[in-house]
Amino acid sequence: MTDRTIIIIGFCVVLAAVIVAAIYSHLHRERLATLAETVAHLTRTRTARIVAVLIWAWLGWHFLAR
Amino acid sequence: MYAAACRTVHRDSRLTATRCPYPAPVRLWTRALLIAALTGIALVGAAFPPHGWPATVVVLVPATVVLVLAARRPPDQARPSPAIRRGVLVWSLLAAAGLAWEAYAFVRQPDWSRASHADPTLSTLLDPVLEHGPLRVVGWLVWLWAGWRLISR
Repeated sequence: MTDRTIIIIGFCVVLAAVIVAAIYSHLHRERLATLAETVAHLTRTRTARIVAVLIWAWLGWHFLAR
Repeated sequence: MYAAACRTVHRDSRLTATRCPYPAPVRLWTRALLIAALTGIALVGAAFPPHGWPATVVVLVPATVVLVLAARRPPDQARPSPAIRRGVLVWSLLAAAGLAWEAYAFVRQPDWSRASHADPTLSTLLDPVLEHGPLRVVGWLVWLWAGWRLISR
């Protein structure tokens, strides 16, 4: 197994865990908040919201324009 | 739940937007206008190739608008529910796992300033997908939608 395959499998495992958590949180909102609800909670202060927007802007530049 | 209650009150017009930390729900025509605007920006952005200043400008324009709107929103004092606390834990762990794996792939590259085929980071893997074609438009739409969600909740 090459390094490339191992790295891709690692990303797939994380992605699969995110999908499972997303499905579970949408089915059991009373037990686990969805990603959107969690982000909304984490960005409830102005500073946190601005930091989140800056991270989002950087991701856009990094993946779409860089 | 707090957001839902707030939205309900907004609909009944008994509480103004200035007293509620959440904005009033977006109306249908506003939503249609927003979708058209985001699609337009995505199409313009996707028309420009990556690694160039025009694409950077198209990223900067919505980023500035979202930043201004985010700074203008009042803070929310709502207390977190147990579900939110568990959400923070679970989603933080998943984000940490993703970032750790990205860092692992990054430090394994022979030259950190150059993408490696043997040890690809997430951006190396996504570059061919987001470089051109319909998936580049989808990438732009996903990014714009995420930005809108950051300020619309």
